[in-house]
Amino acid sequence: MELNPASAFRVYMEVKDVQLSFSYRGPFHDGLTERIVDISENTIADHLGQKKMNRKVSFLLVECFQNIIKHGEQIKRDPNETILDDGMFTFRSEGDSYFINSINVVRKDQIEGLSQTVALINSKTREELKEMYRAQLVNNELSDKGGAGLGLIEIARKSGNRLEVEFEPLDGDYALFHQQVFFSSIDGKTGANQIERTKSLYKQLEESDLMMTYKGDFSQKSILPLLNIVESNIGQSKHEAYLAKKVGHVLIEMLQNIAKHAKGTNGAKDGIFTIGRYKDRFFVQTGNRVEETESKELSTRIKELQEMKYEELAILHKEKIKESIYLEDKTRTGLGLIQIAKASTEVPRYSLTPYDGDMFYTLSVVV
Amino acid sequence: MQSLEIKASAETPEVMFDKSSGVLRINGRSLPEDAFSFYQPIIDWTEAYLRANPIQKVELNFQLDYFNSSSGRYLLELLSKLEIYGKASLIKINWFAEEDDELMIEKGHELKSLIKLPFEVITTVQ
Repeated sequence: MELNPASAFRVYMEVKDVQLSFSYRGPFHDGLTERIVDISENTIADHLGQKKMNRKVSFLLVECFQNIIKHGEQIKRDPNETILDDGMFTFRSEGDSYFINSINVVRKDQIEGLSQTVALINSKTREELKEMYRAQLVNNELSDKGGAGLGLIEIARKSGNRLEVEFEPLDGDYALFHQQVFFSSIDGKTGANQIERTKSLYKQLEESDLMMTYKGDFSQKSILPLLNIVESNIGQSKHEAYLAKKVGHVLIEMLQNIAKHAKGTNGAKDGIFTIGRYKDRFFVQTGNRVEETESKELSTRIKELQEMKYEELAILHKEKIKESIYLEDKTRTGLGLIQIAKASTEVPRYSLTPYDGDMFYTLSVVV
Repeated sequence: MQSLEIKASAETPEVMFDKSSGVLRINGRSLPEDAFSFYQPIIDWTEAYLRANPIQKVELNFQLDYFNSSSGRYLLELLSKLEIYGKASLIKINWFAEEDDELMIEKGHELKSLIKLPFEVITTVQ
């Protein structure tokens, strides 16, 4: 796979009108649930506003995510691949609307049962769903993995909307289960089916071996949950867990650079961040808007760093940190960028693309 | 003068400066956006402490998981206060880092090379 420094721009263009878009492509486990809720709560509090709505969305996120953990299967999509594929979890916040789309692997022999459960749930009124939930609890009809549609009934009740699902058969005994849950703070509003859009996103993520993408606000409160996810969740092997820590160091500098220097849209420091696998390492890419004058300065600085060997970067960093004690404007020490270049095992790459009167700047590093 | 105690937050480390023993400790992660607001009181406290106790033994223990570049410059400023106001023979700096945390070990060595005080980078097993 070739690293394309402008790929973050492509992903950004697809989600540019969305306030928040987060996609995660495995590994799925319980420790992530809370982090995902953190990401969502930090951003949507400002959009959907009311606490009650926020709680509903968090509930839906938890239920949908845990459904994958409980019921999802893991497979190797490619026999040569060592990494297990679990599917993808994604959510988007667009004004008063909220979409949770997930893709997970199921056995083909589960399709019929699942389809019937969903059809039954979708045919019920709110009152009937309540009754159905009660009956399920009393009858204790639990599947071997626990749940028996209870989660789905709860999702349908809390979202107030029908569940959109689709099965996509894979070779052999497995199929992909696509699910969309829609929620709006406006009662009665329905959301367009975005399963096709999610499929194409999944394909794009798979092709570029991206594990996670985030488009949204880059203020400090949004950065921390992202760091926590990367630090403790992306590594599947010991080697990867070790690298994940290193990625965390780089990530914090890259994300805080966006927070400090990005040109905001309507007051928000908005940008994109992606992380993926690259050979036996990880790559991190960020993208954000900058003013044209700033882009020239950035370009010159990065070109200088690209020319430097690791030892030269280490010396430069030492000099800069010494100087920084005496600097008046301590927010512009340039230390962050040097640290990023130092930690990257390949020459850091950047791109600048004209965008809406400004420039869209991306930076990619391999750790 | 009171001992200095700051509880850890999601983005700032725990700080414990015990005035009677002279043992100072900074533990956790340091990622504040505004590193100045967080570190300036610590730097001021340290300077005042050293001025008031010029012949006191001081042991400064760092055990950081992460720190961002802006924290780095204040950590150096803190160390430079020890250099200016303390007595090198009475000062000991310990930088603890997990053995597989290359970057924190490297950052420890970098700070060590920037000051003229007894400074040890100690690797720990998780």
